Amino acid sequence: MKTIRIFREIFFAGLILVFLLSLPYSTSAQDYPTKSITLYCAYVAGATTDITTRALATGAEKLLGVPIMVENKPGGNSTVCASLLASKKPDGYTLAVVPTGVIAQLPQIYKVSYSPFNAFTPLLQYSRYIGGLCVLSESPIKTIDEFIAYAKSRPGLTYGSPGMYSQQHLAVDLFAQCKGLHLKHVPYKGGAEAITAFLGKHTDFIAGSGSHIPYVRQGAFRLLMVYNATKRDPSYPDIPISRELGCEDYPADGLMVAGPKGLPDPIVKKLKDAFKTVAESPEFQKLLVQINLPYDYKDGADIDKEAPANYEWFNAFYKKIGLIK
Amino acid sequence: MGADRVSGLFWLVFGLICIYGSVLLELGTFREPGSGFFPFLAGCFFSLMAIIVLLRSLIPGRGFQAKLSSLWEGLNWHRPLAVGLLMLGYILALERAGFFLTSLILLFFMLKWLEKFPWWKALLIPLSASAFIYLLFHTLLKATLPMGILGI
Amino acid sequence: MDFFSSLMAGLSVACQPHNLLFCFLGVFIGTLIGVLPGIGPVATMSILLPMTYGISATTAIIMLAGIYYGAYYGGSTTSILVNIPGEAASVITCLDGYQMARQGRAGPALGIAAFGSFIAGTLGIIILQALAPPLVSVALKFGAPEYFSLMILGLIILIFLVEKSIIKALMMAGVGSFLGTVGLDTITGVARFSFDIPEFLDGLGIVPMAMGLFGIAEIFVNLEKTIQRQVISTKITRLLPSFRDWMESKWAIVRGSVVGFFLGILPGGGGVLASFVSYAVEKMSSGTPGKFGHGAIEGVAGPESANNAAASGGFIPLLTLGIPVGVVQAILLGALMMHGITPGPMLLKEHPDLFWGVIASMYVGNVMLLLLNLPLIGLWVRVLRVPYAILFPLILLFCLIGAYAINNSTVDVAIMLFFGALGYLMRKFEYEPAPFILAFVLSPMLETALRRSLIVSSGDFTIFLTRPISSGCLILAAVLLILAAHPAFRKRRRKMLEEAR
Repeated sequence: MKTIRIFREIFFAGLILVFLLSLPYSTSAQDYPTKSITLYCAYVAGATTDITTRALATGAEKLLGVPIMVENKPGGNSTVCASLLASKKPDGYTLAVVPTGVIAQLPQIYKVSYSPFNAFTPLLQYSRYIGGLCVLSESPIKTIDEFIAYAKSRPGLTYGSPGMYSQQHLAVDLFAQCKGLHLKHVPYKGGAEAITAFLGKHTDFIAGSGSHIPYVRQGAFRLLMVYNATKRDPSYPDIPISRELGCEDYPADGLMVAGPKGLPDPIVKKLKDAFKTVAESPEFQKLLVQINLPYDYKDGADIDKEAPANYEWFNAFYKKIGLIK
Repeated sequence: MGADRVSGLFWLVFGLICIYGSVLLELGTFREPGSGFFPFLAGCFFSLMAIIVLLRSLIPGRGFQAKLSSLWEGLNWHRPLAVGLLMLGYILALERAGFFLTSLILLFFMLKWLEKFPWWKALLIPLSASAFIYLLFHTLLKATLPMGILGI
Repeated sequence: MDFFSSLMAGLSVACQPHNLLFCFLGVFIGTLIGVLPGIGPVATMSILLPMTYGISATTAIIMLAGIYYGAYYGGSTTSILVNIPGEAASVITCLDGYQMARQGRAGPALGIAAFGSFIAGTLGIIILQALAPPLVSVALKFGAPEYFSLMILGLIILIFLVEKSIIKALMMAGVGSFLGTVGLDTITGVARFSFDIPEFLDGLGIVPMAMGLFGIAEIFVNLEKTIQRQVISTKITRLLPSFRDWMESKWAIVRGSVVGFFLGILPGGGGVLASFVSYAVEKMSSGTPGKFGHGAIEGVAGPESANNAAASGGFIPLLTLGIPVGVVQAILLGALMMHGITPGPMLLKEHPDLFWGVIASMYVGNVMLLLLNLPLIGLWVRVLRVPYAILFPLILLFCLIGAYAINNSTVDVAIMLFFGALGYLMRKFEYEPAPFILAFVLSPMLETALRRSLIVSSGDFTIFLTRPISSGCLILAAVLLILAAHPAFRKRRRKMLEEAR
């Protein structure tokens, strides 16, 4: 008797559940935006990307008139965030700051839940990563040529990078192949971990991803070469870039604001205008200088245009280095 | 069937599945372990332990021999089950119906049906609790709570 | 002496009215977050981060830091009252703290946790001030092989935690280790057992898992009994620890502080490891190990002191070298950079007012926390007297929302529910959750350390023995292992099991 009663209760609860589940997700196309926007960040709180994301959010909030909540969704070299973004409704209330690589490159290496060209609406790119190869300042190696000579005489030098197949790892790898060096890659989870190990002298040099800059400025590290770049870093005009030394370089990933695929045009325009204004503002530019990120603007439509060519290039590249078959 | 026998069997089966899954990832070599190496070791280890538990359960007097039915003797197993199912429903409905509504309904069900509270209490407590949590998390701590169609 | 003069300088900064205000705000929010299960300092700090634009860097760090170590104070509250760990570092407090609450000793438990946290936090800051540079250089020496050996040591300690069947505990450790591999493999970049769920790529969340295994499982177990039977003794004996409680706990607090502080310096170490190790140390050095798990006050005093000391220790690498040992410190780092301050070896020289101001504010903050938390004990104890029929739905709701608020994801809530059910069944079938959690936390670090070491040494296993710190840990582990198998120890264990009956 009691059991029957319980089953009846469960039945009613189930009915209500069905009702709740059949409620639609809220949508509203007119008068965008009417409620708060969620802006995902593909990296942990406190990382340089996160700082820029929050700055963008704070600035755009004022222009759009609704709160923009930043949520960190780190992991998987930004694939976690990308996959999450791709699964959201294109109503303009969920956006993310992700590297441009999520469109063309990363899906080729990582198993992601979205298909490469059909997942995102890029809005704009505002910066890109540059990396640097550093040794400790106490090291006798003063220039990149000395480094090459040293590495040739001592095969098996170890270096840390923010992750397996990260741009930094691949750039150094390309460099090593080009100069005929045998270097051992030790993957870490993020730039900070790699730097910690490097400071403790557990690796011989480091493939910096941006977080090395404070240490270079303070004299703890010595920057020998810049990679992921097409021209010399204006703050370090004496340091050569990988290309000048005759080596193929891994093109830098950009940082972009994007939404899921299928974002309606009026919403896209509104968002682009807002974020562009913030990115060009003096406060934001000052922030970029402070955390040593270059300002590199690209419109979302251009990012989309370049995607197929990027895809082909990386496809060939990954095949060449044996990453994919 | 003794409790240990059941649990030992369960963990053994789970262990074999884990071992299989680990082998699918590369095992690599001893000097250069692959992705599956460590899970494989862990899986083998606890499967071995499961076998020991299982074998011990076959020896009378060793291990936890209580009969399955006796584990729940005299106890009301409906309540944890009902609560569990309610929580499952909550999880499914949360992001659609929004925090306020779902919490209200969850609490209401638990108070009214499980604990047989009178109507007014079963409504008042959820309302005040949900409102309190809303203020606490959303307004004070600025944590994001899922907003449903009602915008709350 | 230099020590005092810099401290005085720091205090003059920390005691400026706006710094005091933000310090209080920080520790208040921190306590709140610590008490609420699930939601942790990370979520709140990152949300408050942009709001710190308008205030000075020193004030911003004072507030954010306050949130962080304030959370450690509050985290023990739910562990003691309702067996729900507010965060991973409070898991161990559940073991004895909750039992104390059931015996009507919730007040002393909360009290000793608060006092222990205060003493440990303060001690930690003193050590930080005095020994920061040499400690950091020791911490830096910990490379992959050292971490590996340390983790082995940690896992061996697990054996000493076990209450009942060692075989079953080992099995739970094995399962925990296996589940620790779920997620993205750092070394190869391959996703393991993630079943295409993006949230799994970073591993299963420890906080929802712990909340489920301990808290939700406990609620399920309690639900089975009919309402008439009160599950928590309403006989409240006293609100604060007695003299006897103090006598029993004093060494636990000291030991916990030391253990916690050193483990907190290590990147990746943190409060979880510190609290577990402290518990094991207490159990091993106690004359009556049988009372652990049944309301031994040392089992609360030690771990709670340890995790607060770890919080203080975690600031050392950040302030001296600009290295974050965990996500929270990374946020602080970000805050500094946002204000144009580059943390690093030069921080002390370039911004002494910030450096000493923050340290001094930590002293102030700890005092504030003690004053905040003690009166609350009376409040919490009264909460326990609410009829369970009303209490448990509310607790469940807080857990559900708290779990969601960790990462704004229902996946975490689902994990909590799943492990809640699992924990319930585990209790029924007499399996222990503590070895599971410990193995789950340690194994990923162990594995990554092992594989990195092998990469660097090119497959040479002797690397673990040729490096001093690493071999030291391994030798210690071997000694403990022998001890565990030794007849004297087994006799002690039998005595312990009998005492428990």
